[in-house]
Amino acid sequence: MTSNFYQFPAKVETDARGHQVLLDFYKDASKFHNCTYHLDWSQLQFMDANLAALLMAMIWTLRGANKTEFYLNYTYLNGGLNVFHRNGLAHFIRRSKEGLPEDLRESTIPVRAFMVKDVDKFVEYIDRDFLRHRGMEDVQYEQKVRLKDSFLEIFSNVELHAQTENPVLACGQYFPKQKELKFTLLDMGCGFLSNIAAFTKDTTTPVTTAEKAISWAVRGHTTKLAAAGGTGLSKILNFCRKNNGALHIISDGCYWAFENGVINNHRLNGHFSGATIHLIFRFE
Amino acid sequence: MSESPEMNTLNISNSINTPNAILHSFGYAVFQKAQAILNNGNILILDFHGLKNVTSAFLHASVGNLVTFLGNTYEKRVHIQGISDPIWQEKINEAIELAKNPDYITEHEQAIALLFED
Repeated sequence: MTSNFYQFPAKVETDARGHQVLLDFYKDASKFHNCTYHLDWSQLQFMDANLAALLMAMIWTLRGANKTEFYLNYTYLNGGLNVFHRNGLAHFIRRSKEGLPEDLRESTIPVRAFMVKDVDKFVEYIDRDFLRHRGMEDVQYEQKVRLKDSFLEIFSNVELHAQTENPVLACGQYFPKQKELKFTLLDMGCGFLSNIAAFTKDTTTPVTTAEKAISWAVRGHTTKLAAAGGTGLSKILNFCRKNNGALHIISDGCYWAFENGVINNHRLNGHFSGATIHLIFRFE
Repeated sequence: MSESPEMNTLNISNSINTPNAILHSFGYAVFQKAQAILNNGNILILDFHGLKNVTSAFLHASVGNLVTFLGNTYEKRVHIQGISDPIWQEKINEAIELAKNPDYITEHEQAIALLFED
């Protein structure tokens, strides 16, 4: 059996550059079938733990499609990287049956997968693992209610727009020094562009690019005539706008980001299926 | 002498077997059950007791479709009870407004539109 590997750089954060690192990993790993593929974290010093959701999705996909197994050397999981022990990613990669170590720092929101019909489990995860997290202690009740509402709206979108039976994945991390909480939610469906392009093609303003498709969705439109009211993303964007938060949406090779009151787009090299959403909350 | 229409209560939580009225498909299932009640000439009481979470997606599929189905008779034929969260009432009002007027733009959508202006 051939072993193959991808060496991660020193730092991987929740931004276009960090997303490109994971895409490069996925692209390289996709070339191999029926083998063991190594995640080389020997040079990695820091990675935002919420990105575990995206890594898990990529590995899950390649296990299924390419029959590839993955290997991560546990000796790399020290210092800041220990979080990937605590949030469950390392266990998933190694298919470990051991229990997870205790999250004594209480900074982790574990990585989890949900089928779309598992609404009760998803609600429990948001209530227990996210809203009751110590990083959310100073958030007012009314804001928590609005936030939870936003997450449930995004979750409901997957059934309506993603056209997939694949699970939804979620993960978060609280960064106490920066007073930031980062939360990632993703689906492995068809992404924004295909449905929106088909829906708008005969209109006066057809949508033909990934950037325009994301903008179209965020502005409250929907392709489902039976589902008036948009995708819920506009409510989340409004929440971020009012509360100094950030919203990143990645789909069809476009990294769309609302940050510090401004919208930016980055073209990525390659893409992974579906849509990834990152929410970044900042506390005073 | 014509008979008064019967009042039929449809408890949403029992109908969808969960206190989390989140998915569009759940909302559409409620709409179909409600439609069957209304097709018999009855008045519908849509009961939110027992629910813990309600999304706009659910409400657009249930209440929104009922508004479209009943048109001007919606207010006479559908009553809502058991609202325990004022946000749900906001969403219900929005679903009704959007069903009556598809071009209705919410306040937050107006705010978002400003972000996209050059």
